[in-house]
Amino acid sequence: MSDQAVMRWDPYSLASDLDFDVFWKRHLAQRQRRLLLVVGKGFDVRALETARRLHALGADVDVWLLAFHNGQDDSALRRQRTDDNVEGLGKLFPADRVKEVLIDLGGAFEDPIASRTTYEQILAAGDAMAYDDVVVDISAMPRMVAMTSVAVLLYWLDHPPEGNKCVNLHVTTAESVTADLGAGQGSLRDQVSFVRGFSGELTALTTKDLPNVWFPVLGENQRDRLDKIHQKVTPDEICPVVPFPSRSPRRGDEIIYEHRELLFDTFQVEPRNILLACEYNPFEAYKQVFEAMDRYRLALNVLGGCKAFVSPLSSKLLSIAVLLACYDHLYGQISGKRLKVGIPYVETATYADPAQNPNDPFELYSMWIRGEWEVVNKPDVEVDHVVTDMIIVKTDAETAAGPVSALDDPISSDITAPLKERLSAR
Amino acid sequence: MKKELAEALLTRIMDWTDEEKARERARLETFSSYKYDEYQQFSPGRRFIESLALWLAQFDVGSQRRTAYDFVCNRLIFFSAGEMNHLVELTFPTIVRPRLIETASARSGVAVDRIKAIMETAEYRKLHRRTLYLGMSDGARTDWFRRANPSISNEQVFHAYDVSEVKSSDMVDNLKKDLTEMSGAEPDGDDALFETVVLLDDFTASGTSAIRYDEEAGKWKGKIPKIIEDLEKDDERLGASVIQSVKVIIVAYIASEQAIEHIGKLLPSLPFTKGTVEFEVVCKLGSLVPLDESRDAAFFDLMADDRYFDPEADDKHGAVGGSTKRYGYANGRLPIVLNHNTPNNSVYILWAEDVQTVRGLFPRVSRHRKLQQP
Repeated sequence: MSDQAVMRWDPYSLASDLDFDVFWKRHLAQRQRRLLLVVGKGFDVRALETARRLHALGADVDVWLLAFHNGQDDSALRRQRTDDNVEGLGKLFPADRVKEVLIDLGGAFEDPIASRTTYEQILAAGDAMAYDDVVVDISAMPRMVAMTSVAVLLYWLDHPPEGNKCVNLHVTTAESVTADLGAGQGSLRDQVSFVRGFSGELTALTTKDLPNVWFPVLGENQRDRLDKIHQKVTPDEICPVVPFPSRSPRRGDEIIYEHRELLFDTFQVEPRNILLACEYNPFEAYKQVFEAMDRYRLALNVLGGCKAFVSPLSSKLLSIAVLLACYDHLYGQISGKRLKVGIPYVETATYADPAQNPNDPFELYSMWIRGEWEVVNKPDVEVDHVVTDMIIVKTDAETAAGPVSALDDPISSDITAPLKERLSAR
Repeated sequence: MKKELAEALLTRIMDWTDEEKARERARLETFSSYKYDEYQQFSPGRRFIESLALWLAQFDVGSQRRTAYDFVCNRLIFFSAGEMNHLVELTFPTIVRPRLIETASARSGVAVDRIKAIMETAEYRKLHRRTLYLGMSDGARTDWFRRANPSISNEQVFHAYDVSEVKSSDMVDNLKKDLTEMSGAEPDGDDALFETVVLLDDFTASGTSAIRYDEEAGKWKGKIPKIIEDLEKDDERLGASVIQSVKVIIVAYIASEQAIEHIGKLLPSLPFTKGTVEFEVVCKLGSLVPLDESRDAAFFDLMADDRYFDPEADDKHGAVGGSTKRYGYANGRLPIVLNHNTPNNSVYILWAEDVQTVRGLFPRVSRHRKLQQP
């Protein structure tokens, strides 16, 4: 079939809960590995879990500590918790192995710049290609910082200079619905922002007639975000995504009920349009979102294509699912016309004090996003050692669909351009 | 009954103010169209709101009705067809495939984390084809399982575990043909048989119909021992289609903690000389799902009222569960409804059958229905 799409993350490599240590013990035992851990300098009680585990396993780790600020003074509680986390990190790794990377989120009443600054600062922080494994722990990162960090590192590592080695990329998170809800709601910014490189060409004049399809991935307390994003995207079709299966079997229903008025009365969503995404398996959730996007891509080709917008309003784990689905549509193995893909979100302007309990239960997840797990190298012949000097994923955005165009939205311009400049400069 | 009429009836029964009516109507309409109207055992033409009105009407005016309504709003868990299908879709990639990858890694020598490389090996492809999928009940949805997994041959999936001689030999013949095509040489002996059997079931709440030990008779009973017994026989039907060290994976799409504990406890003692048996669950209900006497005290009072329990429900089949079905078969205490039928492990008041004196909200159709006079 000419319009086929091949999903990059099906199959996948996921280690959760008890398997986390098993996976990393085995991975680190295979050979000497230099690890780069990208972690948030945040107040979240789960901030250090990945660092602790990797340290306990004797990993050789450098740290990029993303220190984000929005120009406001932190409350005493938030400052105390952040300081505790930094102190904890200092006990695990010597100071000369920890590099602080400042990320300006922009003031509460200024334009949202988190994605742009994260993108620039990650690129400027050092050379991710110098490591064997890059681990992004998103547990204590604001969502926009987390998604941009993963997106830029994934694209970067997917496009190494000629002959360079294959670097693994992992994303970890300590997942807890209770802790997420307790992280403090705060207030929202007025503007909708987009993950860098994922604007969906919302405001491009050349594609203004294409229909917009919106996939809000729903969580609790998202009424205001939904409303703001809806106004910005003005979707022609809406497919809400609810978590199912979930640790709490009623969670999906309760989320639907909480947002009932907005979804059904205001947005006029068809109940049949509601999609399900596994709460605790981000790759299965990715598959659901990717396939739903692809159905619209195929169906609306007759109308000249469409724009798909996916808003991650649920857990961090599902945010990664969203990012992967969008990345795969933008840069993956898609035959035929590609979707325009956007990830709109409304960032938090001011944070409230966290109501998290350090004893809130959580599960630790490790998603292996790119690298050796996907290398296919004549497996029947010789694979008793790991081959790291080849890339198998053909990110052929430049082939079937043509180059990804520069976007008209200055905040969300093409992810590839500055990175390409940086890569060619090296 | 028309929706407007049913809503008017409900408003009268619940004695709602205009404000309450507006709020609750919105809630009920949302969930009726999203889920509840699809319940397959409603009599023809009936919809959820009508069923709810009639169900509530049997309780005393006032607090009893409010208790019952609160239960529907806050405790009821309805698994829709879409949700069940999603659980079916998750079965292969989350439970079966990781095991096949691990075994293929060991056989091929490809490191276990080289996922895509392993799936390209001949060892993985053979293992994949030599896996047989059988339904353990009507709810196994093997049709959906097939559709969700196009890489699995139709000849590897069968809707029942009671496989006839003809079907069994047909499946083995097709397996041999495919393996010959894969490797270019005709396999023989164990190499031409299935080495993994995956048994699919939709729901288990007590686990007793799956497996139990009858102390008096000194016998194992239930679906699992029956299948294991068939697999043990080397020379006929299912047993003749599998290898000597067969791996059996029993998958429940949904299971309660009670069932997981029960099956997990008994399975290791079940004699099986020919291989190994594992039990896996796609969606675990968790410890907070069963109704609790203190947390759900008002609803327990309602259930304890003899007007809302028909002793006819406690038939001989229910006796296997060891307690009255008032709180669900085997004291399951579940608030669960599956779109095609309400399990009897859910509380009786939820599923009372149409032939009984109590009205159920989602009436159940029993497998063990009494013979009716013509």
